[in-house]
Amino acid sequence: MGKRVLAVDDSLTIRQLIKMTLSRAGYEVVEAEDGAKGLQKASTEIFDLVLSDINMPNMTGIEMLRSLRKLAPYKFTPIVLVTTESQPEKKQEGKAAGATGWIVKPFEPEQLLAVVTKVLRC
Amino acid sequence: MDFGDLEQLQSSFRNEADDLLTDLGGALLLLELDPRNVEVINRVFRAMHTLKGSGASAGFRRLASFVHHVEDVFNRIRNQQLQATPELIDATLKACDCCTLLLELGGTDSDTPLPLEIEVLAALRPFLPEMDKAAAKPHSPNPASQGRARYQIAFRPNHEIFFSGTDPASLLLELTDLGEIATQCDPSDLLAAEPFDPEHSYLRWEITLETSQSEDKVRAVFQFVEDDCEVSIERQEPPSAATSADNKASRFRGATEQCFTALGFALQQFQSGEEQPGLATAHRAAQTLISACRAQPHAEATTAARRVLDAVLSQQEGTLEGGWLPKVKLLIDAARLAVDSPAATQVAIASPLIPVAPLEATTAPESAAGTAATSIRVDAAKLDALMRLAGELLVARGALPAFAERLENEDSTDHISRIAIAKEMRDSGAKVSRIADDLQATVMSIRMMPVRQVFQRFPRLVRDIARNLDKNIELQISGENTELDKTVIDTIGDPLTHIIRNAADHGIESRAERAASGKPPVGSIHLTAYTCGSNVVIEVKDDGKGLDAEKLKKRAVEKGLLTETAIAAMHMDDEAAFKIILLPGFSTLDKVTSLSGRGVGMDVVRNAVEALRGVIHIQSEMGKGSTLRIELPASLLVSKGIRVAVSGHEVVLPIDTIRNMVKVPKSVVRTVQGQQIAPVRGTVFPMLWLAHALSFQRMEERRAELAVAIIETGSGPYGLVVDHFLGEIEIVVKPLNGVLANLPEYVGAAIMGNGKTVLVVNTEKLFSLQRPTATA
Repeated sequence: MGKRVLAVDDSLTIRQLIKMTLSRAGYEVVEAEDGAKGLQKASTEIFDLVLSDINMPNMTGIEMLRSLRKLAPYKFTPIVLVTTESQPEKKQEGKAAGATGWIVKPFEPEQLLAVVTKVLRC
Repeated sequence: MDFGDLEQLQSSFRNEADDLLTDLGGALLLLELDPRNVEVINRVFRAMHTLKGSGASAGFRRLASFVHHVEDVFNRIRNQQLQATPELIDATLKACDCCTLLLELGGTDSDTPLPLEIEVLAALRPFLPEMDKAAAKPHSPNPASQGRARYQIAFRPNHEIFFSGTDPASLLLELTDLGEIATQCDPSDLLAAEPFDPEHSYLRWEITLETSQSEDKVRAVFQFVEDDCEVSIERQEPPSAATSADNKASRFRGATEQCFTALGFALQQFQSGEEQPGLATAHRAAQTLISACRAQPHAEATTAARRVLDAVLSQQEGTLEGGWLPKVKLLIDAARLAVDSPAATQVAIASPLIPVAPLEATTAPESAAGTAATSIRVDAAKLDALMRLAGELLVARGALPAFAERLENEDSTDHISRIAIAKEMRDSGAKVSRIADDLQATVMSIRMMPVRQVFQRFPRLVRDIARNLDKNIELQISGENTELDKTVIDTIGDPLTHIIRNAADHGIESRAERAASGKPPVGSIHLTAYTCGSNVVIEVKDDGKGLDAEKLKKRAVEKGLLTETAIAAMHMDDEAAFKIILLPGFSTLDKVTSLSGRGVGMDVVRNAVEALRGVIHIQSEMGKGSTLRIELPASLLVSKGIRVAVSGHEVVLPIDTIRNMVKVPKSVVRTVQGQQIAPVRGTVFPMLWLAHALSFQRMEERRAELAVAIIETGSGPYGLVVDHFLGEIEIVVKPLNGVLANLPEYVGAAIMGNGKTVLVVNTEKLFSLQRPTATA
C-alpha cells in the first residue's frame, strides 16, 4: 500500500492534478475541498502527508494546519502548503503555524513529486 | 503528464472556471452595490486567485497571466488603495467575458492578444500604474553543472524541527542523492540536555558533500528549513576521491564511538541503582546512534541501533521483566558489530526510498476527448443509490434461472406446485419491476439540474442593460432550486436571455416615463421558476408599460402576417393577440437598439421553447406590465401520450400539447377562406385532419361525430381530427435517425410495452406545416 496523501484545495483542477501526479507515483490520494473538510478527513483517517491550499472558504489552510498540529497523529506529519501566495510573509506565517514546506502554484507535476518525495523520505 | 491527462485536467478546469466566473460575476454585482464589503472583496479575490493558480496548472497560461493583471487591481482594492467604482466593475466584468473567450481558445499559447484582452487591459491600466512592469519574470536559468565540487555544510536544526513535520535525517539522506557525503554528528547538546525532551532535536551535523550538482541544488535541500535552522554551506576545492571516502568512514566511526561510550556509561548508572537516569541516557545515546547510522547511511547498523532503542523504551515503559540488562548488552554488542562491518546495503538505502513510477501513459489518450461538452456533475449520493439498485437487480436476476430449473424438474401434472411456482415468479417479477422503476427514477434525477445554472447569468445582463439605457431596473429571482432536465437547462438559456432583454429594453420605461406615470423609479423584473404538476413554469414578470392588444393586431395586419378577416374569424382574445409578438418577422419597435431587435425576434424564442415541448403564455395589462410564462416538461425522457388510430395506423400524440379531447358533430365544420373551422364549446378552432397531415389515405367517415383533440401550440390552438382515441400510454421518446430524421411531422418514436414501435406526432408543428397548402 502506497503512502496516503490528503490533498486539500477548493480548486478541483488542482486536486485532480495532485491526484493524477501522485497516484501515478504510487501514492494514495484523498481529496478535501476546504480546510474544514480537510480537518474532518484528517481526524477520521490517518495520512502520511497533507498538501493544502492556503486561501480557501470555510477554513484557510493555515487555520487547518494549526488545528492539525494539535492532533496527536499529526504532530510530526509533513504538511506542505500549495499556494499561489509566494510572498515571504505568507511562508513565514505558514512556517510559524507548523508547515513543513510549500509548493508555489503553478507547478509542474515533476516539481510536486520532488517536494513530496523530499518530505516523505523517512 | 501525458496528453490524456492534460485533456482531462483542462476539461475539469473549464467546468471549474465556468463556476468561478459565474461566482465572480455575481460577487462583482454585489460589490458594485456595496463597494466596501470586505467579504465580497475577498470572494472576488479568491475566485481570481483560483482561476489564476488552477488555470496555469492546467496549462491555461495565457488566461492565468491575464487574470494576474486583474488580480493585481483587486489586490489594491483589498489593501484599500483603490475603490471599486462602477467603471472598475465594468472593466472587470469585461475581463470575465475575456476569460470566457480565453477558456474557449484553450491552452493554445498564441501570442496575438485578443481585441477584448487589449481593451480590458487598457481599461484597467489607470487603476494600476505599474502594471506594465508586472510582466512575468523569466525563470532564472538553471546554472550548468560546475564540475565536481566539495561543500562543507554545517547543519544545526532548530530544537523544535520535528513539530514542522521535518525529520533532519531526511535532509541528510537527500544529500546522499546529490553525491558522496561524510557526516560528523555532534551529540553534545543531547548529552547536556536537561530535562531531556524526546520530541526535541538536539543533534548537529558537520557534513562534507562531494557532488557534481550545482550549488543551487545543494541549497535546495535546506530550502524549507533555512529560515529557522542554522545552515551554512561553503564551497571548497575538489578533493581526491579516495581521501573523501576515508574521511567519511573515520568520522562515522568517531561519532558512533561516542554513542557506545555513552551507552556503556548508561548501563553502569542503571546497574548502580540509578535506573531512571541511566535509561534516559541510554535513550538519548541510542537515538543519536540511530541518527548517525542513518546519515552514514548504514542500514544494518541502523536496524541494530533501533533494536537497542526499542529495548530501552520497553524497559522505560516497564514492559520487560528481569533479565533486561544482559539482553540489552547483547543488543549493544550486535550494534557495535554492525557498525564495524562495511555498509553492504548502503546502495539500497541511498536510493530514493519511495519507488517513483515513470510518468508514462497508462490510459488511452482518447478516453477523455470529446466528453467535455456532454459531461454532467452528479451528486455522489445519487450514484450510490444507482450502485445499490444495480446490486439489487443482480440479486433479483439470480432468482430467474432457479425458477426455470424448478419448472423443468417439476411433475407437469402437479397443478398445485405449478401454481406455487407461478406465484413466486410473479412476486419476483414485482420485485424486479420495483427496482427497474427506482433505477429509472434515479437515472432521471441525475439528469435533473437546478435552474439556478441558467438564472445566475441574468443579474449581470440586467445590470448591463440598465447601465446602457440609463434605466433603473431591479431583477428579483426566486425558485432557483427548481430542477429541470439537463437538455432543457442547456437550451433554455438563450430564449430566456432574449425575453429578459426584451422586458428590460421594451417593457420597463425610461426614468422620465416612469416618473410621469407616477410609478416607482426602480423598474422591476421578477424571474421565477416553480413546479406545476409534471411541468416546470418559468415566469418573467415586469412592471413596465405592458402590451397593447389592438396595436399588436394592427401591426400584424400592416406587416402582412395576418389578415383582418382571419383575426375576426379567430375571435382573437387578448392573450391570442399578445402571442402575435411570437410570430416570425414581428417587432413592436421600428428602432433597432443595440440590445434587442437585432433581427432576432421572439419567434426564435417560441421555436426553442416548442422544441422542448414547451408552451408560452403571455399576460399583459396596459401601463401595469407583462408576464411571460413558459411551461416546460420537467423531464424529456418519459412522458405520457395518447394513442390514436388514423387510417388503420396507430400513432401517439404527446399529452402535454393536448388541451382536451372532444367529439364534434361533423355538420358544424365550415370552410372559411380555404381553412376548415369548427366551434367547440363556444370557441372556434381551425381544424386539421391527421390523416391528411401525415399523408395517409383518408378513410371515408361514416360517423356523424368527429374525434377531435384540441392541440395547444405557441401560435394558438387548433383541432386535430383522428379516427379513434385508443388510450393513454407512458412513452420514452427516442429521436428518429437516418431518412426519418428529416420528417418534421414526427418528434420521434416510442417503444411500447409489447415491443411494437410507434411514431410520435409533432403536434406542435403539424398545423403550421399544413398552413401553406391549407390557405392556398
